[in-house]
Amino acid sequence: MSAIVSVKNLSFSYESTTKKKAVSVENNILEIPEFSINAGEHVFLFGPSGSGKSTLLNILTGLLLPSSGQVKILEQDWSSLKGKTRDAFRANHIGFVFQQLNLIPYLDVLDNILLGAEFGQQNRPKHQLIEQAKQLMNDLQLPESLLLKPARQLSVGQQQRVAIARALIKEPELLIADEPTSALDEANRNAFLKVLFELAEKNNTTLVFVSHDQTLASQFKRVVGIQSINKASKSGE
Amino acid sequence: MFVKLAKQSLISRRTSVLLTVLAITISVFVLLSVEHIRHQAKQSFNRTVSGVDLIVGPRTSQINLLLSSVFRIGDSSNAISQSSVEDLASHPMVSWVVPIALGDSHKGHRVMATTADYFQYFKFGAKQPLTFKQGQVFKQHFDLVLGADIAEKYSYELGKEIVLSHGTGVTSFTHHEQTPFTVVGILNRTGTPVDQTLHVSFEGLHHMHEEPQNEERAHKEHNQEEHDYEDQDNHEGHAHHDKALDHEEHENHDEDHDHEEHAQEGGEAAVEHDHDHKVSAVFVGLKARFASLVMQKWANDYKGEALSAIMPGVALSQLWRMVGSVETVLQVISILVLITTLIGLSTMLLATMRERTKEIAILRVLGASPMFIFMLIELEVFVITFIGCIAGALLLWITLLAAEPLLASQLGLFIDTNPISETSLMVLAFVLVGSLIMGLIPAINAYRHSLQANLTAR
Repeated sequence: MSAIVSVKNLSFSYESTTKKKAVSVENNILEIPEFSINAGEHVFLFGPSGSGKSTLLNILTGLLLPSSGQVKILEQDWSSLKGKTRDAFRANHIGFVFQQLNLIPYLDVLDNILLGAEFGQQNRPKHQLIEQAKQLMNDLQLPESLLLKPARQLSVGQQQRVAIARALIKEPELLIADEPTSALDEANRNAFLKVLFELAEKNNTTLVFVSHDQTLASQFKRVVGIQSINKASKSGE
Repeated sequence: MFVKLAKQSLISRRTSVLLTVLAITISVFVLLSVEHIRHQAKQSFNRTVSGVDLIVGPRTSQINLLLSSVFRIGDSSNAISQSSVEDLASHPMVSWVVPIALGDSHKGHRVMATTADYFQYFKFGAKQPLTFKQGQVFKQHFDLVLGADIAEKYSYELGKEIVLSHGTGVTSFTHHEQTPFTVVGILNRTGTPVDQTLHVSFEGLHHMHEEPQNEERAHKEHNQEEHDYEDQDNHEGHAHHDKALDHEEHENHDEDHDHEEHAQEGGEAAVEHDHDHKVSAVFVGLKARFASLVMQKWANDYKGEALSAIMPGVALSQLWRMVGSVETVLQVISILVLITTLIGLSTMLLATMRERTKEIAILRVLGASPMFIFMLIELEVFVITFIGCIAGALLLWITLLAAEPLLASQLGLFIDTNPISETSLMVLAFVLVGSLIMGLIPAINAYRHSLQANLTAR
């Protein structure tokens, strides 16, 4: 099995890229000697807030570059790609689901889904994309009638599912979900996880599910605590 | 999708967007109208008279004489006598003279008495002569030649009989009903005050005022004239505009009294025949251009009465400088208004950045480049400004259509109602470029947001 994600000797401190937080120079938020995820794995990545989760996600998606070390997605080193190529690479290979407010509120559901395929280099004709969007809606148990509704009219649970559809329409190798269920009640959460797993399985997508809620861990084959891979002394406080 | 995003994003914030568009519309309207009027006024100014080397009239300011003789605005409070005109005409440097007399009106439009030479020598624009659309120059006493606008406005045709009124107010109480004039010619449009003028011969004017022979009528008319004066005094403030013609009238039906008075004022004895009438101004053509200065001095030194002579080109540019400086102030103000508006536009977009942080994060994680975000904001700026520009131009066009007759009749300004000219397109381009530059502020803000896009930002 080939590694979809491979991290080597990663270290990161905000000081080098932004002045946002008063973090002293010596204090790295992340220090990860080694971490990898194989194709087809469903990984539950958990850690309390402030454990460097968000930073790791920013790095995995190529929005932030490591201060040192190597982060490879599909054997491609983020650091070796230039800004635009990096954006295109992300567009082509990584799907992402936010904790909440995933959708552009003023676009309708269909446009929100199609936006997922907008920035890649896949030149699929539009009607084919629309077909696929409908298929995804079916798989996610969303009525097709929602397609032309503005995204802001949907319930939170529906919005999160549409976000999966948007992430998957470009058929990414890697799907990263950042606490996608935290805004959902239990019934919705279970339904959400069910369709997420089904679709990941069906599309042969590697899934990285990030959460601070360990009760969900039981549903995943592989569980990784961030604190166990992150050697940074006292990170992010 | 790019365009759709911008469009939907604007629609979703329609209230603030509409207000911004409205602000831009107004500032574009102000900017364009100042520019348009300035351009048109200058053109209109400069094309009013041409081919005339000198205008000689009673002693007054350059601009006064120019306004009354060429623009037919205001009043010619004084007049010069026929003998001065004859002296002028006989000067060796003078090639032609065309005397004019103003003072009567028809429905508020000026009636100008002149000679048939006027149609030959008076030119406008780039030395274009006056041409007849229909008919010909007046031949009989009560013949009348119409300017294009008058003919069009009242649908007057050849053969139509028209009654002229005494004085220049719109509502005159004295109509020369006994002496209707017959339209014998209609001029082609010139875009100058000529279009608003009714032309008659001196003989016609003279006979018209001579007409009420019986004393009772004459008396009655006198009383009416007094009312007429009062009326104009109150409403328009030019009560004295045609004293000269008035005198002439008195002279003719009331000879005894008038001789003295006339003699006092005019400084010379009136000779009673058809050709003795006072003249408001004289258009003069010279044998050589350089003679202008000589003739100006001649007029200033003229012994018979106080004369002044102006060179139309010089007077026009002097007038233009007066008006022009006002327009420069207006221009500066309108540019300031525009800048304020553009700052408002930029502020509006900046204010939305907070709520758009999430949007930007979404687009970024989907693979949009920071440049895409930057362009998205600039596109919104462009769309808002573009709509504002179109709306502003439309508003101006409608306003011009409404204001054009008023400007022509009240100010003698002949403007083109089409606001789209090379200059106005330049102005619009300037506005668009300016807005894109101001749009850089929110766009760069968004760009930087997107570089630092934090996936957990909310």
